[in-house]
Amino acid sequence: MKSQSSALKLLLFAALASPAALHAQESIPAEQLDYFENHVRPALVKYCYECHSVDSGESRGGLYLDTRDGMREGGSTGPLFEGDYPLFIDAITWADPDFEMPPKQKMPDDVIEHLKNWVEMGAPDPRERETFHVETEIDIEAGKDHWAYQRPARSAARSIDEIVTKKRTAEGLKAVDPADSLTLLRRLTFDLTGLPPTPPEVKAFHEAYKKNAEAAITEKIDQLLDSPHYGERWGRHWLDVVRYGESSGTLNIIYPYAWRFRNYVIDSFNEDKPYDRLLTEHLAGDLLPASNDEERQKLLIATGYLALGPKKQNEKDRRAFAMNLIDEQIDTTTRGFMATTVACARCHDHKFDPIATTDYYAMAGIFQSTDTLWGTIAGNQNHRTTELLELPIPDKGLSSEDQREAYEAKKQRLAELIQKNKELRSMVGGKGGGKGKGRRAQGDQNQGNTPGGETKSREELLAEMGMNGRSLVALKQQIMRAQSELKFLNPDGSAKTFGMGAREGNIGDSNVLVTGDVNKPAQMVERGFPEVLHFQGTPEIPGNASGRLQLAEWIASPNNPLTARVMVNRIWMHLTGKPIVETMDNFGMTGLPPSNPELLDHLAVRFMENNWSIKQLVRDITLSDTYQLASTFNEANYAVDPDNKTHWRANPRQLDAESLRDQMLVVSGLLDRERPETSMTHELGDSRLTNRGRDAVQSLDTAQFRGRSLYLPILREALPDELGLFDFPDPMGTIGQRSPTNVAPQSLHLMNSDLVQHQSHSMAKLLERNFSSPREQVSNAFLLSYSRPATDDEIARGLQFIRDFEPGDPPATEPLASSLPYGRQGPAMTSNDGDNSEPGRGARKKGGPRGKSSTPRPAPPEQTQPPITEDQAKLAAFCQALMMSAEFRMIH
Amino acid sequence: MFRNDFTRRGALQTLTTGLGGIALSALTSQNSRADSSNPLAAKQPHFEPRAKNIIYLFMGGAPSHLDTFDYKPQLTKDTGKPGKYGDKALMGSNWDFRQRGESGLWISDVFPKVAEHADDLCLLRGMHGDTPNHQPAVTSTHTGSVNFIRPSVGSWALYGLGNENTNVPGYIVLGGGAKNNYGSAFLPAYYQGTMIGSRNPSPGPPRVPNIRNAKMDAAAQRSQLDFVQWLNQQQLQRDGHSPQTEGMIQSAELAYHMQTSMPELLDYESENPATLEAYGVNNSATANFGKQCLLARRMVERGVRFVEITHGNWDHHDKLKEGMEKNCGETDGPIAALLADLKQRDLLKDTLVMWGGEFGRTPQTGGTGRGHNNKGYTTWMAGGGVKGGFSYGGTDEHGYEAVEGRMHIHDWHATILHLLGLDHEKLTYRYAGRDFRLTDVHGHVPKEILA
Repeated sequence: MKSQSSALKLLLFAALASPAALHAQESIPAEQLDYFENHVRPALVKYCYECHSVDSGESRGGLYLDTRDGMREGGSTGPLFEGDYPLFIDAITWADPDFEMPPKQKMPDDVIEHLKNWVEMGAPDPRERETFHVETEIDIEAGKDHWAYQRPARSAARSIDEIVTKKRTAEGLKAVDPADSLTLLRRLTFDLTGLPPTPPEVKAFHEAYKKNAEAAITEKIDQLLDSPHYGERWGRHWLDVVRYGESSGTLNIIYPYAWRFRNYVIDSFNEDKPYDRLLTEHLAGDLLPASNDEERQKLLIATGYLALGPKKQNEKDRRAFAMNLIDEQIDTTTRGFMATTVACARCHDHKFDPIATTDYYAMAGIFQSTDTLWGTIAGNQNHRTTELLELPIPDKGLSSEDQREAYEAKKQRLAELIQKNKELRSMVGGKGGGKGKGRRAQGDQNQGNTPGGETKSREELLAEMGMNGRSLVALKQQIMRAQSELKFLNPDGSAKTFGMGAREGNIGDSNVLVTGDVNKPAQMVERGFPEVLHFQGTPEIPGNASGRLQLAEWIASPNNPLTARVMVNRIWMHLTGKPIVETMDNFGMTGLPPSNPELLDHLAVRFMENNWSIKQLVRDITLSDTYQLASTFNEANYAVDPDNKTHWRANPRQLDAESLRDQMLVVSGLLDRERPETSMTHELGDSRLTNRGRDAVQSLDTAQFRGRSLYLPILREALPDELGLFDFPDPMGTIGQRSPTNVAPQSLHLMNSDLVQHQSHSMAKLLERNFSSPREQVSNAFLLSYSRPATDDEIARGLQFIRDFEPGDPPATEPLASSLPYGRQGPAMTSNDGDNSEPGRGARKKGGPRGKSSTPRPAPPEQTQPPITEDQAKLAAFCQALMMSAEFRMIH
Repeated sequence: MFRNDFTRRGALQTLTTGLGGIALSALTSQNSRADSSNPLAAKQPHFEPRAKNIIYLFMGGAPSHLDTFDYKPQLTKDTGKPGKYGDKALMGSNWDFRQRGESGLWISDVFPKVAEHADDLCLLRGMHGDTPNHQPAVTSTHTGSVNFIRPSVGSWALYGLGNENTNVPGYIVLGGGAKNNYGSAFLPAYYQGTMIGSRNPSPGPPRVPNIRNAKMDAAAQRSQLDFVQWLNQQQLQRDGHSPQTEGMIQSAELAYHMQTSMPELLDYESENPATLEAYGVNNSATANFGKQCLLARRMVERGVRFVEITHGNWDHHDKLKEGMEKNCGETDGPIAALLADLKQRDLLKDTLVMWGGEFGRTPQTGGTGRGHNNKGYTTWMAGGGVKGGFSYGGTDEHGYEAVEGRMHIHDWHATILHLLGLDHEKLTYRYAGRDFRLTDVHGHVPKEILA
């Protein structure tokens, strides 16, 4: 088990530039070995191990000093032995006030001398790390028998209906009748666009349906598939799979450029990009040829997929962070695209599936050879930042005149800060200027003693100026922030066009890590794919490439037994409410088998034959009799098949968060159907670090936002209520299916929130403007809300409610944010007709200058609202009741 | 937008079929409020209950049994020796254990204040479960199932007993994590846990969003809700069977009542200063958990059936010593205060307090912490009809595995239901053609621990 790994040694030789690395145990001369054992090891044990060793469990600054490898790799501040003034020497001689090691008490002079001598020798170090070798115990061949690893079989049946009917009949069940025209219209419109049909659409469809039902349905489906709202609806489904988020979670640092990926996904669905191509762009867009800047831009943005996952940027250990990032990428890629839980094999062989831990690290090598670029700004607790992709096409709408001034001002301020820091440091000791430079700039060891005066400690000197150690740190942070801000600007002051994404990095294989521990590397494994899924034509990864392109080729191959099945299962679920394989993101041994394997395979085969066209598959399914069934309850069928696995009826479904809110904005006449170019989060974050997720989202007045729900800020751990309360998942990983819930906090939102009260008030005004008689107002409110005409009883009840309703005096309340009076509402309420062309506030239409948004968002303009009339209040209460009701919240 | 006059003519009113023939509900605004078929109304248990309410103190990340409630002198002696698996060394506890109270239960010094309540604790030292991975273990601790989405134990309790107070949710989770752990799965939605507060709570009482209406008074809101419920009843009649609609009806009623009940319930600051002090509400280390403990007491006082409060970060692979000191420091005082307070108010006899994580930890160490161990660990119960000062079951000499009084999570669930007066084999829900139970086909109630 514990064999010497020569591969590991080779890696070290290759990876380290310092001559110090060139000593392996056998080449260390005896006298140097003695020197190490007599003078160096005891010193390290005594002064360093407490905070920097595996045994102590401490690796402050991500640094281990108890192995040669750890020592040579260095910690989060970089290598220890590089350059003319090695960091190690600076630290132990207390030459840099920020790096005084050990921090409480300097080592004795003779010990320091010994260590210096040792470094001069080239830091010869005999301490070998334990080496490991990991072998799998899994019988891969036996594992290949699992149903999901067989290629989908072509069905003899010609249609979805044939397959479904066969199975249903075999169970002795009979389907209910087809849905009536208006139920079907509402279902189709929500399913394909996420929006309700408007009254004119209801009317037109009803007329057409009467003439020729089949033609009307087909035409409607095609029309909906062509709508730009189709891409919004289906793109949003996909964003659940790829865990789209606009902040990192944990520290919750905003990703101000994530929205580019969101827009790219919507566009891709609207143009019906073949699914295999979509996956390839996600994984390796940067490696694909582009014929022009526009295409290049899109392909680069596509790789944002790899970058926008959740991260813990407060991780100090850079290697641990890197492996966690890779794990997140492997997990999303394998579960999202193949419903395979490869990430379970990070620490040991997969407990249930035939996936070896060596398979995991074969994939890890691919992502390890990739630079993932998520940006964000260093400072506070954010230790893990990267560059961003610079995109070829600038965002529109920048006036560079005043920007240049702003740029100059920033530059000036940075210079001042640096100067101030320099002066301070020279007064109190330590070196001026930025971190790295000063440390090596001079050999002067004068620790801040006033010339000719008595020695004062740094703290005393600082105290005399009314400062303390913290002030120095704060100043340093200001400098770092100012430097980062400048990085985001062109010299003319215009913002650089940034995107999140990936590019090729240092190409190389990964070590297997024993129990996933970065300190226990075992043998290296070649970059590749899980062995159990080696099908014919599995691509080889060239030595000079990360392998992302081959990964994409492997996943999107028609020979991959999982990819098409997993996607058609997702599409089926979105259209029928129930997946064929219930464990949508796990087709492995612990997943459930398909309820109708023939149907799953039929859809998968058709999907690939139709060039992976998602629109075509959506069209096929929605055109089927199965899809078009009514949702009528049937006692006898229910007794046999309560889960409706045989599709004896359509499943009644609760609207998801986005559709529920969108529908409110449709019926209130306030919906802005245009896509905002950016996201509200873009305004918050930009170049500066924001470590305030919840505050941030509260500062965004989402109740005033009039765009579609998918454009609301998707901040991890800080979702706006209108999403989070209604089962929108926190995007911490792939989500195949949301879990619809039904709880009191949702009802409270519908009863009392700003958003719903605002919408019901607007709806009342809209009705009042358009219809003079209460009866018409009521009947049209039903039509708007339920996509069907009201019954006489409903109208009578509605009229009676309005007549009798008295708002009374609301109880005096403490000023809770959730119950502010209407007076706070912005321009939306002044819209004086039903036209919804006024652009939504909140998300700007263009990418604004980065610098500006670090100032607080201006308060909404003080608008004096015309007080709500008594009649309007009554009608609004009625409209709100419709929004609260079950029929409004469901599709049947 | 729809200024076309076709709607004015009411042209569409005759379009749809199937609506006209439905008899309108006879429900009036009065009886929609007091629906006798309310599934949340209190129900009779199967037999005389020993506990009416539960407070579950869930310790996410899995605290070490070896450093708290499972005294292993042999492990201390063998510290440094190789353990049973691999080459990792055994590690004894950093803390001394001593016998406490009249009962002489062994409890370590890491929980000094909880230890003072030893005579009320019933240690379950033979716990074991099926998986050493957090997420599935947490799920199985809550639902009995490792892989599937099943109703949580709180949902089963609420389903079995209903709620004593229809003005507050019967199952409340403070803080909390993944929804499925408090979900009702195939049980009707009104049995699922209501989550209050966030994982990163702000100072002061947790706020229930949207708890007040600024536009109308209670009577107006009632009349609006009556109209909504009339619409929903219509819907329900059309649908024949609709758990979703039923869920919406129930949750709207509950929401209406919560507007008055919740602000009062959550206003723990109205407690007297000595109580606030005892729970550590004003001390930064204990404030968060102390607040939760105090709120838990206020909830059971008001009849909330099942309360779960959570403390996290017990996954001490490294720095066990520092980690335990921090976590125990944050929870020891509040838990002790909760036990004392319940006792003083004579609520402990009817309230089952349960403490524990999703599994325990290994006696071996790779450095300064302990690994995951699902084969043997300790949880405890107090009050609610269990023997105090009692220890049931145990692990081997090093604490690897439960060897006597073994209690699987299914047994633990069966016991919880038993204490509530519910027979875990009879508490079933028919779904997908079969009768489901919290304990599946397992579960044994150790009579030894019953008071």
